[in-house]
Amino acid sequence: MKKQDLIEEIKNVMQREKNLTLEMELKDIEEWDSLTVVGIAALYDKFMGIKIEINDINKCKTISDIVKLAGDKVY
Amino acid sequence: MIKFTENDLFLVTGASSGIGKSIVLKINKLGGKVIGVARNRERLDSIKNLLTHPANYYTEVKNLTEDMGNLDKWVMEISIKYGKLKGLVLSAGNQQILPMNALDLEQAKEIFDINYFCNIMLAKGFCDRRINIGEGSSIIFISSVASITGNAGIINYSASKGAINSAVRSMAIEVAKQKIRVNSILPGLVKTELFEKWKEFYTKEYIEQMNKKYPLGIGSPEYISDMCCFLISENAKWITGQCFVVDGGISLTVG
Repeated sequence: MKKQDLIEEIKNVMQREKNLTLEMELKDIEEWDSLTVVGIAALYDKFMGIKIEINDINKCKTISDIVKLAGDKVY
Repeated sequence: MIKFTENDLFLVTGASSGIGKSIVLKINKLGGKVIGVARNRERLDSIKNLLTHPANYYTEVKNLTEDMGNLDKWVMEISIKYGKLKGLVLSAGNQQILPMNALDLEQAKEIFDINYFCNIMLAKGFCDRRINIGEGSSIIFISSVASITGNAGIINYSASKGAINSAVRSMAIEVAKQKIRVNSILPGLVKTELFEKWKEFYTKEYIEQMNKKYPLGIGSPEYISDMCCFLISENAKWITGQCFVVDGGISLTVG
């Protein structure tokens, strides 16, 4: 999956109108909440077949950290 | 007094007949804008003559069971085309009279598709922050009194409506922080076009019998649209996660 497409999907999970950038800090994103975290886990499973732990998402600080969880599945 | 404005946009499924049609007409009469959704263009257009404000009525022909998994995205397309939605009224559904000895898995699933899964996917689409107006927005599921009473031949139908009642409660909690309210209405027997479709079942004798059995007689679609318009209005702003029985008292009777 392309990095930009993944960011777009993450934006959809957040139901966010404004664009996301890799540098953005999750704590500054209004739509970021526990249901978004679960939604991201489901997104990685659905689109890339990756099972990620909720804890791993909770450790992320930025959008870039979340994208990194996809490893070499994003390019 | 319930009033809507031209800024109040509602999406109503099952709009071309019965309860859905009555809801479209009432929202329109009260001043709101309505997008009616149904499978049949002619039937959707035939409502136009009955509208109080024809300019505030839009139509979308759609077979909801086709590409069900993408109904949420379809709601987004609707919102891009017409604007942010204040309400979603889920009135599309089908009845099935099928005794257990004739129960067929595929047919059973079809009823769940139209009565439950389609509605859940549409609700998912509506709840997207980018699609609804936030505070003041709400969803109405049209369930059935059959979901809380018992009758032969409707095991699967009543279960599909019961699924709605359960979903409404959890959905109400999940979307409360977005200030979206979610409720369902459980109508009793109201005289609609389904009477014609199932006339082997809804015989004249049966209808007469039901009329006697219902404490307030069998109903009319307007009794349901009255309740619906209340629930989607500001007057109901503290009401969520509830299932309202509107049934002429039939659920109170025994035997």
